[in-house]
Amino acid sequence: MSDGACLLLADFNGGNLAAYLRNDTVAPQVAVVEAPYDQVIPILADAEHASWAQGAQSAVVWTRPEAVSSTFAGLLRGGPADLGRLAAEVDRYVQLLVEAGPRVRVLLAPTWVVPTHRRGLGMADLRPGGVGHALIAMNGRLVAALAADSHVYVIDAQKWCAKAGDKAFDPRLWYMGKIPFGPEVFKAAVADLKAAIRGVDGRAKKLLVVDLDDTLWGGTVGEVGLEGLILGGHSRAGEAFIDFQRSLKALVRRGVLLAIVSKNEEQVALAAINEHPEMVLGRADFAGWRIDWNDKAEHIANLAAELNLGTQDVVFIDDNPAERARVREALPEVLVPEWPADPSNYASTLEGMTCFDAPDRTWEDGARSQLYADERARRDERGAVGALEEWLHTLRLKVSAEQVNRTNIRRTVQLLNKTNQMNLSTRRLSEAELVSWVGERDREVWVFRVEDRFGDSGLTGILSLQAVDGGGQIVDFVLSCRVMGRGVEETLLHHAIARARVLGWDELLVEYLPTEKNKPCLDLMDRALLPPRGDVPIFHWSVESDFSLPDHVELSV
Amino acid sequence: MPRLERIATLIGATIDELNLQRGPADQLGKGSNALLFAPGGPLDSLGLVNLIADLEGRVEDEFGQWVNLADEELLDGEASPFQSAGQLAEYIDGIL
Repeated sequence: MSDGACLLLADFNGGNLAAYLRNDTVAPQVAVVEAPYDQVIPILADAEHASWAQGAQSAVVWTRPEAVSSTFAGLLRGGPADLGRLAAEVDRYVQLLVEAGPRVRVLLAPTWVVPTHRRGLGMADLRPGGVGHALIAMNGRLVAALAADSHVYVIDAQKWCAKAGDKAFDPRLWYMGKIPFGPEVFKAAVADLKAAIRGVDGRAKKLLVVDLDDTLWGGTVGEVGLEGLILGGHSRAGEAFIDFQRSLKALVRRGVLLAIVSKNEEQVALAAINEHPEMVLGRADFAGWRIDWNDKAEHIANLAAELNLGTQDVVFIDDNPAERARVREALPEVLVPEWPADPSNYASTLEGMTCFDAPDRTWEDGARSQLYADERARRDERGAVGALEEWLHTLRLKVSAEQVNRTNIRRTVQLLNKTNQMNLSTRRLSEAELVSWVGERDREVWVFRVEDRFGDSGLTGILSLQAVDGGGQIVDFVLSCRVMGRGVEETLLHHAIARARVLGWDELLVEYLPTEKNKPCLDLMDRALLPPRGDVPIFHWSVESDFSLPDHVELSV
Repeated sequence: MPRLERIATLIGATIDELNLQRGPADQLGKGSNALLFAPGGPLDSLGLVNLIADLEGRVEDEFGQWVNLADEELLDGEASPFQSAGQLAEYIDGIL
């Protein structure tokens, strides 16, 4: 079954790309809408063109530089390199992309390439007048102009060509079928396009679980001690393990959670992490760990649950083929990549994985490991403090509410599109769609930041309201699982009722739209509001009645 | 390995490549009688272009000799060698 359609617009025969994209077995399955051949500019310019009305959620607009720029086409034939004209032609194309972007959730534009057999001016090709010089200028302008666009992403086609090597360009395909690239380019493109679509859909992997011995370092720490581990120094393997850890650290900084599942003595393994002088990763880089002699698959499932993730969000890396096979069998939704035997290939294998691709990076992404470390401290203390009420009062919980605006909308959209559990309606909207929605009369979108004495959780809540007959309605009620269970849910409801009163509504309705994952939201509404009057799960609250703010919460608006 | 068999192996590899562009229910057969570009056959013109480009490259790599499979006269009529994998192998064997 297809998870969404992708519109292909190309100034060449895109049939091969369409066929690879359609039949690639890696999720998501993509239906392909092929726009008429070589009609890129007219279709981009025409918002009413039938190609845009076929329900595509993503689009790929793939052009050759000589088709977009007549100046560049002339340059290929030995003509002058008028960089001013070239820039103007790129700008016109960019403008068309920007205008077309909001017609889909994401529009992907590969960079321009020329066949590698073209040597242009040889050693002078990267000087003014050279084809290479002009191509870099065109791509630089394209990338810079679209760097902040919320719909259009430029993706690197040069990498696909490099991967395909001398099979990237096949003149036979061009002369017979107007297909400029060989199959390997399209296969590499499909992998990147699918990663982008997954990322935009919020389906990028979120948790990477790693083994320790012969994965994070060489050797078995329980046998050789931390002094005997192969890590760092000047050996091939020692340097390779360091580079692998650096790659993992870079992923953590991108917002991917890192965890350990290892068959070891916990104290021995943690001591190695804390005390080995060459360790790149520290304990704070790990959102959780299970280090004992029990089943790894069970531990992975438990760790994911502990971090409020599903097992479909998890990647597991282990050097041991038997452990990989066990996890694949027990948890088929976990991504378990084949892992190279040679540690020299660990970092490059990790860096080549497309499953972590996400469209944007926010403050919350970069700080995610720290946020989970804060949460671990909260949990530990909660265990020690005793009664929940007593613990909540020790948190010094501050919630601030503000309307959605230009500075917070990126994080708002990211949270809206990836939150599953505490999500009333599971609406998925692009930035432009949200802006458009809130621009209508009698609608408001509020976002909430949460902070306590353990740290700042950032923007973790969304509440959207709209007027309906006889009152108002909560359309979105979204809360990050990181702050659930601390009274923030009730704070959002308190704010919703307060706004309803200000807006002059008599009653606030809350329609729960069930998904496989949002039962926590149903439980909350069941507990906090008046029950539905009929079979439809529409909860309600009379605005005349106060909805108390939890007394351990300080709310600022 | 006899030359005809080597050519058949190359055609099999080309069919594997073409099958990556086709759905599970639409896979090309690899037997010598399996239809390719023939009336009622599975390949359309784009499929034929891909077959020719891929196979010409493989034959050139294997035998060091370019064979022109894109001759328009080859494409028409009942004598077209593209009707099945077996006919194609015999045709290439004949011109090498």
